[in-house]
Parts: sequence; structure tokens; C-alpha cells
Amino acid sequence: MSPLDDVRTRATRDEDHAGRTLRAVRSALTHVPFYAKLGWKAPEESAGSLDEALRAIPVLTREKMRASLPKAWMPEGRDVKAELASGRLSVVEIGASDTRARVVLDAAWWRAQEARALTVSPRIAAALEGAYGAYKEAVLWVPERGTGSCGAGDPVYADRLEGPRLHLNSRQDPTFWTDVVMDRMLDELAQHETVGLFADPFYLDVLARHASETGRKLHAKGFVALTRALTTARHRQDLAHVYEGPRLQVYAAREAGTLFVEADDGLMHHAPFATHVELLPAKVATPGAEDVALVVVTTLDREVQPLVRYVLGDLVQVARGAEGRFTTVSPIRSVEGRLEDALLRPDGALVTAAAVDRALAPLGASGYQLTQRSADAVEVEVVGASDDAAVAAVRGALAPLTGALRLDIRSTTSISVEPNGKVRTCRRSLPVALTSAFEGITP
Amino acid sequence: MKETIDSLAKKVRSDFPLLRREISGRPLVFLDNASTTPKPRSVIDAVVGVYENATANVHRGVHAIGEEATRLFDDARREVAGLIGAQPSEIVLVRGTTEAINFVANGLELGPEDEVVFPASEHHANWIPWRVHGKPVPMPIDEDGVPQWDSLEKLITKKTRLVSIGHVSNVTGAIAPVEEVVKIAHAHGVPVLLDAAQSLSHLPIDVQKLGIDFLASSSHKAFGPSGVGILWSKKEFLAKCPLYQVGGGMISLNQDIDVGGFVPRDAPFKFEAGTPAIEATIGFGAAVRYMRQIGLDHIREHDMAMSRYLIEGLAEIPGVRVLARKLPVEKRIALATFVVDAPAMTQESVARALSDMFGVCVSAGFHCTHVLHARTKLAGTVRASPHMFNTTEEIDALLEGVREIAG
Repeated sequence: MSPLDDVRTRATRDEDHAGRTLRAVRSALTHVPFYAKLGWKAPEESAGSLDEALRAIPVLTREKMRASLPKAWMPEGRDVKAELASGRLSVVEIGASDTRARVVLDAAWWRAQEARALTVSPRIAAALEGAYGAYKEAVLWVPERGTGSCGAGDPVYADRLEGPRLHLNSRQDPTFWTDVVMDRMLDELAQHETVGLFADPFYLDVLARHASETGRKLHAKGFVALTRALTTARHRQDLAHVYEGPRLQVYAAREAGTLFVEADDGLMHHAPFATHVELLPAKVATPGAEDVALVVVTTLDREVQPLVRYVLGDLVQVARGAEGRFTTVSPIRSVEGRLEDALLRPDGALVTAAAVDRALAPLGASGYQLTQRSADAVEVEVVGASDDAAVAAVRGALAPLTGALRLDIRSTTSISVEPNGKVRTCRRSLPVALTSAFEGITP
Repeated sequence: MKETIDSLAKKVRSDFPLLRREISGRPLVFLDNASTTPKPRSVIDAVVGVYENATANVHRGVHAIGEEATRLFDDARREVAGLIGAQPSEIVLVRGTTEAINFVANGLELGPEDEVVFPASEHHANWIPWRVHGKPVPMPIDEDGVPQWDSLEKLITKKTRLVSIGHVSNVTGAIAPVEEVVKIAHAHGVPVLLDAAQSLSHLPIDVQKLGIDFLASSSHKAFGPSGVGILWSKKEFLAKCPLYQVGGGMISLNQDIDVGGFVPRDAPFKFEAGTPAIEATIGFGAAVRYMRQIGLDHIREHDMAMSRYLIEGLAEIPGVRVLARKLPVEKRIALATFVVDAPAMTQESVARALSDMFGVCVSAGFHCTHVLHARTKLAGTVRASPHMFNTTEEIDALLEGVREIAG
């Protein structure tokens, strides 16, 4: 089965979204051993509105999910071994180090929900239906077809093909991509006759800068979709140098599905039938961002490892007043980065990574990183902020957001990278209690 | 069996600060000693002691601190030499086993037709050098990755320049029949290199008794710091072995360009150009002292009992295949590499689950032995490698975890 088989299933409005969600929650809490062990109670028929019913249920964190085996996620009565052995299901690792978790992935479910969700974008829908020639896509994100921790050689082109999808990279850490590897990726984008490129913006930025330096362009006849991470102004700028076609935002997570897709109104609309998303409003101030909410996901048609009130960990700006096209879930204006990266002010306010990026974007720095290790100060490293005027400009840009936080600003030649080779523009090592920062979470 | 294991383990556990750690609220069960061992307090103190009291370069400073650092450093070399029945002047300090083997590969000045015989199951450290220097002749292995030693004689030809074997396999835990290998190789005039990375902290080693020609090993798998290891060889080889790196510290005299050449120092110093890993080497010495205080014979006693307890426990679990499970404990160390039949879960995923859910730290993947895994048709394995501080209760935790995952 290829993604093309699902193209006919276009996104339509789900008139029974609330009912579908409640049934999915009841089914999961009743039939899945993982939830039985937690002792979570399924909502009664008389539980009231969807929001009321859900808010009576605790939230599921990745930490809780991490301490479980795949078999705990199989609904009762299913033959765990047979289904896993059949190859229909696989176990994949998501996240890195202390945020890692195992996810049981039903590839058929993923493809179906993804193909349907992508049609939220008229542009992608047209591409899937052949508007730019036979639909072929390439992906550039945490490699699914790559080497393990011990290494086992790099898969060749044919081994990185999955139907019409080409997995461009096989090594996770882009700081070790060589020029030869990036030339190969650019060559393959053309060779594959790529219509749509789905990419982690950080990974794509590395490739885009290489393309720019070598005078090349990105080949994608239909669109480039940025997904799975915060896209910074710098990423957009670098991409614009080498790609003139449409750039779209797709908000998806391996464990939860494709949640929001940018439509022709510039907003990201919730995709129907696969998930319900609670956008839990921040109780605290969020300078530089409006209507900030925490994303909590409940899956609707995921039979294996159904998620109930799963805290995805991202913050978004809700498009207040805009109607969801396909479900009752509000559209979102932007993905604001991870909660764990937001700065925490002494007055409890949260400053999102995207808010910081918007504030610093006009300065045009090629790189920066804010690190908060203490409650009252933030270390700010900015590439090339080597004189007093530059430091003052950074301070001036950040001060309206950071309030009483002390800013220790210094110039640097480069920004340190994470173990996966990505750069986090903001990092915080202080905890934030979900219950005190967001509505709808019971202690 | 249990008493043998637990009496030594309980005696030494408190020496290892790492073992007091918890993972997600569960006590740490460290079963990854074949990758690297935790460090006892005496080693940590020795290293910190250098930083706090004796920071100076060695073999250079004439001041009190420099002399003290030099004494500690030289003592470490003597300790290590004593552990394997060698002379300090025969011990070249290197970065680890890999560098030691590369040292020999370079020193033998092998040509493309010069053959090196080694088991196909070897770690890449004892595989790749022979692809680069000389011509590799891998010895066949059985379906569990154990070398077919009886094929050795046939593999040795007139072109054979070296037989290079791992003392203990990092995958199967099998102990090589070193003395028999030496007998066969020497009968053909071929020297033998012993990779003792896995054996140095498990087995008593006497280079004279074994009759080998080279020994390579590391500190970090023997309770010492990483970044230092040894090459042992006979003085005759070291005297004629070409230099592979030159610079400060290895020079007896450097004459001006219009006067003459340079005169290197005698071995082992002529091979140790530049400032060495001073703190790590002193820590290595402390690790050797620590092992000798415990007694290698006591460690081996624990090891054999642990081997039986571990292998028998794993072998009883349905859906678990243990490599080389039939090897008697006398011919192996306490190390079990196994495959868990957990459909759709890779062996790496199994290892992560053991860590996440049970606090058990094991290795997974190919363990730097791609050829072994390819020939045995295994897409990865899990490896549990206990050591003298591990208790039966900890092995029970591993077994419970594996049972849960395989069930």
C-alpha cells in the first residue's frame, strides 16, 4: 500500500468529532492494559461536554509512556506477537536520551491519516492528485532508514525508497554530513522527480545553506513542507535563497499523527478523524505571543497505542476567533516551540522560543542561543555580537519579553549543538509545573 | 553458587560510587562492563589527587611537584607490568587496545601479501588493522560466533606474519586457547598477538607463561580511566620497531640540521612522544592495585559462578537465544550475548526497555563485530556483561526484565 492509495480519502468536516473522541477515550481506557494499570476511569455517558469529560482524566506524559512495553498498548484480545511478527506493526524510538520513548507504529494507520491530513492544504491535495506530475515525495528528518548505534553501513538509494517516498538522509546528525552526502541529497531530489519535500527545518537549513554555497537549488516541483520542529526566521531566510516555491507548515509527531496543516488562509487547521487536540490555554502571561496553549492529543482511530490526553510538549498560538474547517478544534497561528525550551520569568510568565526568535529576527544574527539555568538570569549567546552596540541591540530586543530576568549577553563564534546535531535557540533547565501553568490539568 | 557471587559482590560494591545511582527511581543495575567498567573510589581519588596535589608534566619538571607526578606516573607503569608478569621497559603506554594493535600492525611493516590470521569473530580493533596493513585471513566461526580453532594450522602459510587473537571474545565471552594457538603459530615461526581488552580484569595473565609475543589492552575495561592502554612486547621487537610518531619526550638528542640527526630514547619512551595521559595512567595504576588487592583468583571465582548463574537463567527464558551457551564456565567469562524474540522490537529497543523499565544497563547492536553478526545472520544482539560487584539479585532483575519483554 502506498500513500497514493489514500489520496482519495480527502479531509472532510467531521460532524461527530466530539462523539468520536469520547468513544475513542472510553475504548482506550477500557481495553488497553496500559491504562488499566494506571487505573484511569473512562468517562460516563453523562460526563457532560467533551472538554469537561476530558479534563476529569489525568494527562499522559512521555515519561509515563516510556516505562512501558509495546504489548501494554495492544487492546485486549489481540495477538500481540502475531501482529508484531507480521510486520504490520513496528516499534520505533522517538525523542532523544532523557525524553526518549518507544512507540508502536502501525504503518498503514500512519499513511492513511497522513495522506488524509495533508489534503487540508489545497496545494498538497492538488499535488497528491497529480497536479505536478506523478506524486513523489522526499523526507529529511530523523532518519527511519539509517544506521543504528553500532553502524551497519549506509543504505543505498533503492534501500531508502518506500513507495513514492524517498528517505534522503541516513545519518541523524547533520553536523557530520559531508559535502558529498549533501550533494548526493540534492542530486537525488532531482533524480526522484520530487513533488513534495517534507523536512525538519533544522535539517533542511543545513542542506539549504550547502545548496546556496554551491550555487544549487532545491528541487521540489510542488512544495516544501516544514515539519516536526520550530522554524526560525533564519531557516525561512536560508530556504528562500534556494527554493522559490510554496513553503508550508505541517505539524506532526510520530507518536500522535499529523495534527495541523497549513491551509490557503495561512492558518494551520486541525486534521479530522485521527485526533482530538486540546489547546490548553496558558494561565500565565506569554509576552511576545498571544493565546498561547499547550498541545494535548487524544488519538481517535489508532487501535494500537491509542493516546489519551497525551502532552506532546509543544506550545502554539491559537488563532482566536477563527473557525476550524474540519473539526471543532481551533486553528493555530504558529508552533511556538517546546514548553521545555520556553524561558520562565520570576513572575511566572513564559517566553516561547518563537517569541524570542521574532524579537531577534530583525537583528539578522546568524545564530543565537538563550540558556536559562537559574530563576533570575538568562545567558544569551549571539554570533557576531562583538561590540557594545550589537549587545545593546540584543538587550533592547529581548528586554520587553524577559522583564526582570537578567540578561548576560556575550558574543560567540558559533552555537553549541545538541547530541542530535540540532541547535536549540532557547534552553531552560528549570521545571515548570503543568498544573500551575495551563488550564485543564488536574494535579 | 549464589554465595560465591554475592559474598564478593557485597564486599566490593561500596567501592563504586556509580552503583549508588538510580535510574527513574530504580537502583542502577550496571551490566555493561564489557563496554567499560565503573571506577572504584581509589581510582577516582588517584585521578582527583593528581589534579589537586600533583599537577605537573612528567619526565620534565625538576621541581617537587614535577618529580612527584613523575614518580606516580612511573609507578603506574610498574603496577601494570607486574599485573601481566612483564618488565616496565616492555610496556608502551598508548591510548588503548586499538592503538596498541595498530602499533603492532605498523611495527611489523606488513606488505599487501603478508597474511595475518585472526578469528572472524574479532572486534573491529583486531579486524580493521589487518585490512589496512597486510592481508586478512579470518578464521571460520561456528553458528554461535565461536572460532573454529582446529582450522588454525591450515590457515597458516609461508606468507603468515602474525596470528592475532582476542583473549576473550567481546561477544561470546569465550576464552581463546592461547597456549595451544601459540604452540601452533610458533611451530611455524609466526608470532602471536593477544588482544586482552576483555580479559585483563577477568583472568590472571602471565605473558611469559602464555608465551605470546604481543599483548594489547586498555585501562577503562579494567576499572581504570579511559584514554590509556598498553602494548606489551619483547625488548627485541621494541628495539627494532620503527617509530610511528615522534616529537617531544621521546628524544635523547636532537642535533642541529647541519650537525646530524636525532637520537631517540630507548623503549618504551621512544614510542611515547608528547605529553602522555598523566592522570589516566596514574588512575590505571590505581585500578591495577585495586584488582590485585581483591585478587584475580577471587575475581575469577566470582566470574565462573556468575557465568553459570547468568547463562542458565537466560537460557531458561522462552524466546531467548544465548550465543555459545554450551561453552563450559571454565572456557568463558561472565558475559552473555543473546537475542530476545520480541517481534518488531530491535535488540537495541530491547536494551532501551531494560534500561527504561528496570534500570538495567546492557549493550545492544553489533558490538563492533559486523562480520560475526553477518556470518551468524543476526541483525543485532543484546549483551549483558557483569563483573565482580554484580549480585545475583541484579541478575534476577535482568532476567525479570528479559522475561517480561519476551513474554
